[in-house]
Amino acid sequence: MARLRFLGAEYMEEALKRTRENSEYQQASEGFDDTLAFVVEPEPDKGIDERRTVGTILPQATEYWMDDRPVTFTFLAPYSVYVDIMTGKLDAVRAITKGALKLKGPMPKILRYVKGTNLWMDTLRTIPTQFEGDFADRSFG
Amino acid sequence: MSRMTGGEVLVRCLLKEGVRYVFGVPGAQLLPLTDAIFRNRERGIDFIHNRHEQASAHMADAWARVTGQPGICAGTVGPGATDLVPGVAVAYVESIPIVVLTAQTQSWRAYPSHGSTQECDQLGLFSSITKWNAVVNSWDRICELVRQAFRVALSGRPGPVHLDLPADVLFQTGEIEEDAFLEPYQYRAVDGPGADPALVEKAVELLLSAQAPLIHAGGGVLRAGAWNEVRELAEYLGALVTPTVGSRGVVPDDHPQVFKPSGYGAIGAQCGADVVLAVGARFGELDCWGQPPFWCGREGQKIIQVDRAAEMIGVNTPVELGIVGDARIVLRQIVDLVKRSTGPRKASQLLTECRATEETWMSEFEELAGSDKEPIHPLRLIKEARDFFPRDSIVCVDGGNIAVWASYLMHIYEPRSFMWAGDMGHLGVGLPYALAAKLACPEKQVFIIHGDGSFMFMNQELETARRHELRIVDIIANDQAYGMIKQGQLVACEGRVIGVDFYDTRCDKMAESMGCYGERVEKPEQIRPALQRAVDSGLPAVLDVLVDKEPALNPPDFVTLVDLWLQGCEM
Repeated sequence: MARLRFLGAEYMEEALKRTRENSEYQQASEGFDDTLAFVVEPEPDKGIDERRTVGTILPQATEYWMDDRPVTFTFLAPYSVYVDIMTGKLDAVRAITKGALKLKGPMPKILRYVKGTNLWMDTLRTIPTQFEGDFADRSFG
Repeated sequence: MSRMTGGEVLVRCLLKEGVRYVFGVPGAQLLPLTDAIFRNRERGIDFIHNRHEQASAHMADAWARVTGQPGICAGTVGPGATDLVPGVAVAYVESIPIVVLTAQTQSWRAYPSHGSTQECDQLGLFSSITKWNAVVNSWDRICELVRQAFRVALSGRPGPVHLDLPADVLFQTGEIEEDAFLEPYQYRAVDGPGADPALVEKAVELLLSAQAPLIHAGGGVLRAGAWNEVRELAEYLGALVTPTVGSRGVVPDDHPQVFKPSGYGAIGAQCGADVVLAVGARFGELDCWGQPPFWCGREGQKIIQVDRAAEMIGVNTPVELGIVGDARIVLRQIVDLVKRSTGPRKASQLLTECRATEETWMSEFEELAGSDKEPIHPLRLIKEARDFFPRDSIVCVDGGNIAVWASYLMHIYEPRSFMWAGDMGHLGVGLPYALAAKLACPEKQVFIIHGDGSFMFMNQELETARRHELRIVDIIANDQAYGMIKQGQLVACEGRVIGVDFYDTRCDKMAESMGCYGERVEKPEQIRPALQRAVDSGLPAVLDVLVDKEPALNPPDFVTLVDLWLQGCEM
């Protein structure tokens, strides 16, 4: 499989498919049933010029969207933080507790599904991923 | 009118304060003090001698933590004084009231220095780790300065004070009237201040407006003896409770409204509460400074802070309302007004959510604690120890990673029954803390969870334990390393480690050599019977437990702590 542009349409289609098919993740996230959005802040000096938003519903992973519709959880970070998380340099939950990945939404619920969060990250890391700008050399798969 | 040495005048002042023990190591210049203690033993005071003055300071610290009364430690001039320093520093950082007594060379040789043997500038030495200190430069001023020492130690934010006592002042004799020895109420406030009723009203207004109130209880609650008020208010308002790491036990860990410090349930509560009543808590580093992402932040959360010390209000996080006053008295004012204003309230949905989060978080630790693997998992050891000892036992935690592991399953059920130098992170406190706790509460079981690194800092005090028949149980999770530092090096230095590994020392044999019970434990099923044998031995006991080095190095929250401690460092 060719590398897919991180958070692009093809990437999201593949991510949702793999999310639905991962039974271990589905089991760990049973009862979560909520909407999330990932907001990528631009880093113009590193070749990331635009703000981007990608939302979905988990663990169902039946759809995704790229607008600013209301969601329960919003994660907000520069592109570089997402790259660190996707390449495994930074654990997703640690990114939240460090304040690198800012969270708007009920913290208790996110903390209840830490195992599911980690399994979802593992799932996404199986997708051959192409990063942009100065981060292209950290692409994988 | 009686004729007394300076040492005896000092001891008579201590007796008025109800002092039962002076912890220390004797010396020539201290002789008038120790001899006066000897001659006043029938009045209820005694001298507990340690094998190192650092242990004496730790014991004074522990005495204060367990009893709520200041602890007293003493060292002779020079090395005796300098050896006290680490223990005094812990008490200073952790706001523990202790009175430090040091002998000094004769007054005509000190300040400025004459260059006498052992002489050093003890006033300067202790000035940065005490709230106040002074040279007692005249026999006539002993009573006055002892009173000042206790007054300062116990006022505002409590802490250590220091009196430097020249030998000639201690040896000097003079005539003194019995009524020169005042009762404490005659020279210091014996109860803390209450709050301005208008501020109490405002606090209650805020609390009653809350959808999800939280009480964050710090060390000030323990110091003030305010645990009943915390519990009463929490239960009446349906408030969630998060103790700080140093104040665990203010409300039992298994109370349905309580969450373990820094646990996922607590973080959820601290992020979800709309009004926080912080009592005797300064929002220090282990409280993540009261800031997001571990707390909600100003937009969605109002903080009421109650503290005895005005200088602690809003020091680490902005507050909506600051109240200066004694935790117990102010909480009583709040409870009474709340009860007059509204009926009992049910807990919010936040409690249900946070409880579910806490249970999920804890379930992994419970699973690990059931491990039958060899070597022993640290959590298996901790759970076995907790289950073995009664609920009201006093628990001393001493170490790095083992303290992190203990934070999960070493449940604390009683106020003033948990001792850990968490803010200073000082190694070696465990054994002296346990000895003082056992002296203060001989009817209670006292045990320590150590790392082997921390045990070796103060192990000589096993002889003190044996000599005074202080039957504590010292449990060592032995991974033959400074585990927390080793793991830090492994993570940060690409696998390179330096200065962190040890020879396999038989701590159990060391205990035996000092007349204590010792046993090495290598298998999980041996833990419980070994604990029973330790208690049945009738001796101070050491269980030297070999634990699995891999998990011992890497408790789950290790990286979070590293993030906190090295925040802002480029790594």
